Amino acid sequence: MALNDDAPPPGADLLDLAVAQLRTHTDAGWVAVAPRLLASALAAVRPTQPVRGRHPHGAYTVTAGALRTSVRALLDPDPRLRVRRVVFRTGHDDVLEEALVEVSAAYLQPLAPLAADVRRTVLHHLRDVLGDPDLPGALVAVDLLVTDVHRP
Amino acid sequence: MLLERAALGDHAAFAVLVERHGPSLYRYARRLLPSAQDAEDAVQDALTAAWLGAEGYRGDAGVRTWLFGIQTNCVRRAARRRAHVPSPVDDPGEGPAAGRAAPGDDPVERLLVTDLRAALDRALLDLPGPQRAVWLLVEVEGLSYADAAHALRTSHAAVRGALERARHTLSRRFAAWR
Repeated sequence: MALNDDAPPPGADLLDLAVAQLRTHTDAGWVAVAPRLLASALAAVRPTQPVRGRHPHGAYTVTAGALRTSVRALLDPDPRLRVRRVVFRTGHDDVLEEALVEVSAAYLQPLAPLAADVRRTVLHHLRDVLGDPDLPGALVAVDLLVTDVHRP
Repeated sequence: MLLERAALGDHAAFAVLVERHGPSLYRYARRLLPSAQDAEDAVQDALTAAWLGAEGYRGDAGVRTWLFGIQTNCVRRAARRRAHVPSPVDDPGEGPAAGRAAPGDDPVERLLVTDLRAALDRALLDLPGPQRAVWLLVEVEGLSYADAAHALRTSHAAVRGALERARHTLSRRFAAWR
């Protein structure tokens, strides 16, 4: 066995130095375009299903994405929870049939009262946005899934 | 958590993700595509796909790996659209701070660093595209062999083999660089 079998190949030290530099390098090209690329990405419209609303003068639709964002914004200020996921299921004629809200609960937070509050808040919000004060609570099930806990 | 928030329509959360990972995605794409414009287009496509697809993220890979998987797909599509004429990265500086020396900065050392990085960018052109992608993901972006394999939709063994060949080629190039 040759004595220098374990020696690094020639040029390896310089290569390592060059790689270390590249790892921390930010291309000027990225700096120049970053704000524009972010804005363009955020302007893209997510495909989403429509949800039917009612108004005295007729029907309208709201995208599930807009509803999702509004539910998130509604619940975000509550320090007892963090919203993880919001899913809507619609049936015939885009009528809302189910809303699922998945949250992480703050550590030591009583869960049953929290679930009741979230359910009540989201149901009231959906009735308001969809223009149906009689939207039955039983028909629109707001399920709370506690999938994580966190320290507030 | 940021990606979950982005899936809920949180623009600020997505902006943080882009701030964290954007420079790496661009650095990767730029060294796989012929021009800065090609890299910009590929990163634009990747960020848009990430925003649109955030709801579909299921956590089977880390967020960084997931993003590099999307970026790899966008780079491959861009490379197929264009006749690949490799050109070295021509990066005049390091963003807004380019040309401004930090206090105590040694201009000779700064020049050496820039030359060394430029030499590496030129040496990378000696690698075939798949080897270059593997080397960039593992050596520069710090992905594990498994994560690189996931992002590139290839096997762990293929990543290991490509990396060995890439290291050998690049070391030989730098042996001649003095």
